[in-house]
Amino acid sequence: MNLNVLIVDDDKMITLLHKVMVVKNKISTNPPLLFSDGKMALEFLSSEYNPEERYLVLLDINMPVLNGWEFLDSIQSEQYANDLLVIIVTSSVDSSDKQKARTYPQVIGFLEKPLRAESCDFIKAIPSIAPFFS
Amino acid sequence: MTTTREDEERLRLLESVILNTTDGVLIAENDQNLDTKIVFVNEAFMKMSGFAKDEIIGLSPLNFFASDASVDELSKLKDAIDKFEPCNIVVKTTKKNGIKYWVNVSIAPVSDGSGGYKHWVYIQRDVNNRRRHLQALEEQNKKLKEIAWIQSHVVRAPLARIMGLVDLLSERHDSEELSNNQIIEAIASSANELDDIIRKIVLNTENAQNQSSL
Repeated sequence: MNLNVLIVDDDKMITLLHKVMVVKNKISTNPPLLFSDGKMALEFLSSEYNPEERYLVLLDINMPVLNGWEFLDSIQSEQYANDLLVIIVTSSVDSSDKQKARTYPQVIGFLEKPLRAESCDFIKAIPSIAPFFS
Repeated sequence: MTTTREDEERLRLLESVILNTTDGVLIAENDQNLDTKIVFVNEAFMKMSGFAKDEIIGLSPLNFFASDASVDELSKLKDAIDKFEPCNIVVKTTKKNGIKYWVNVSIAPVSDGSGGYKHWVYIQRDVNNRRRHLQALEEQNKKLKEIAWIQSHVVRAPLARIMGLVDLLSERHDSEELSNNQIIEAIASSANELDDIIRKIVLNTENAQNQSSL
């Protein structure tokens, strides 16, 4: 089964940096997909979602159009809601953001920007996705 | 009923409390229609409100509240009066010269000794300064929260970019995405952005300080 990584961030340099990290650390089976806001990621999932594959969303919080929280609220009613994996990747070091993230069942991790080699090791060790890297 | 000298002495002492306190004191009486009318006012209430004795006696204590006084607080007071219960509220009231000020009002029904209630004691304390301080503190707290949000979301954004870019440089991955020159340019522009943000925060904080010292 393939693991597709979606990088959702309005900061173009960050999406580029994270793409490099994801590729280098082999987190994604397919090339990671880049989106500059939650709405674009949502639209991609509605049209391209394939139940035969798994999707890991690296989600920023603070974005225009549809921010990270709004994205999470929107996916709750989608058919893929239970299968989607989300890791919040934010510049926020605010503990209330971390607490709020825990209230969403899809969120399996909370990382601070930028993604580094250690962050990638952390991602690979999360039990729900570890099998993809063994 | 005869009053002894001791009773008289006691009454005189009790009366001096009402006359000398800096809290405004009113005594109101319910008439046959159950309308509450002021029958006594102390010096402090007149000084606080700017009204003379003959402008106060005969009115209801509810007459003095500001037109924009909290409806919720006033209805608490009216409910308490209807049920003959004590009540404590903080509400805006008006001086004779139109100036509005905040008071803490407590009312208590006075038993007539045979299970009925006819009189009310109404005490109001000027809490204007306290209220203003509280509002200034709340205002400052709001500003602090805003600053914390900016630090977390806005200041850390270019910083995170710089950290990521430096990682990329130091590990010298041969990435097709970015040449070394592009990385250095991106670090420089992120550092400038960070500088701009910090300057803006400092400016805003100074403005807020100037406002609060006015």
